[in-house]
Amino acid sequence: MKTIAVIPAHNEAETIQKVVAEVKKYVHEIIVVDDGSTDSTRDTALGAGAAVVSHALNRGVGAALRTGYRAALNRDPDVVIQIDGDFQHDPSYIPRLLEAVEKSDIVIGSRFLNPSHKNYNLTRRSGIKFFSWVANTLGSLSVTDVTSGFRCYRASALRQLTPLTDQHWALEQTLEAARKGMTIKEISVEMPVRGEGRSQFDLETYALYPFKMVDCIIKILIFR
Amino acid sequence: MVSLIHVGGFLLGCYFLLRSYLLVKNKKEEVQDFLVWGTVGASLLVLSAVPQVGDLLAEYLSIRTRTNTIFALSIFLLYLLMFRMHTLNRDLYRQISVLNEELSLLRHRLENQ
Repeated sequence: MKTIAVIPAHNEAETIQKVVAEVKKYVHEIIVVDDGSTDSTRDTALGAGAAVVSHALNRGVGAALRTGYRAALNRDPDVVIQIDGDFQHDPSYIPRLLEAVEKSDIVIGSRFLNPSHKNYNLTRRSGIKFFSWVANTLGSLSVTDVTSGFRCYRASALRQLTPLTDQHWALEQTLEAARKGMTIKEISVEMPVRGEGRSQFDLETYALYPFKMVDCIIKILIFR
Repeated sequence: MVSLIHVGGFLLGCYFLLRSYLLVKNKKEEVQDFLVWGTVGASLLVLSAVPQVGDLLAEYLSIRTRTNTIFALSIFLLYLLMFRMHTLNRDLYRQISVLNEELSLLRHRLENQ
């Protein structure tokens, strides 16, 4: 079973080498999508032995994943793993994701199936719970962590999904998968709050979070 | 009696007409841009040169004064322009994303050859 890992990364020079080195143990190929980094993410990832696709401009996680999926699917894999470049996702869970994807189309690593979600602040926890509730209500699902970026796809399922938007891709993608009748499974994955590097969740992100939630819900309810 | 505001409106009208004409002539703008800004310029010229037109328009549109009529029409026009700029901006943003993606994959392919 040919497995390719896609790692979106923006200014992750501090952690990308460690992530690539760990992920390499479980997959056949690694594609790092350098989303317009201004540090040495690209060179570090290349040095660690990953294939690197570089965006000239930073366009967000969704855009990086869209490019990564395309690059991965061009290599004709059976399974595509998606994992963050900041080492928040422990690569040692990959074998469990691969095992679970044998019986489903998409597997999501959930931090809400273990106590690790308690380390996140209230805003973020509430946001994730709210989005998961929306996904469960609209898509007749029973997921606990719809925003998780630690995922595993069967390539055949990934080919059927429409390209992601530049940002806030997770809910839309999960709902589309549910509407297309794909089976979505979750496994418990511990995700500690990010310790190294610079988090994408700064004060501005938190301030805009409620508006983004409303924006996303309107988009799903009215336009999808 | 000609007031300063009439002179200002007249000059601004002339500027819009001339500038939008020259921009289209030098192939820096589209004809539709000339139509929009030319109409704005011509309206300003007419309203400044013949203020009575404003009174007629105010009566026709059931707005109390000439000044309010001009403000109301300007606001409608600005809304239209804003909407157009916004959609254009979004479209360009999307196109940049697509180009960004295509370029990165092309570069990757070239590096692998």
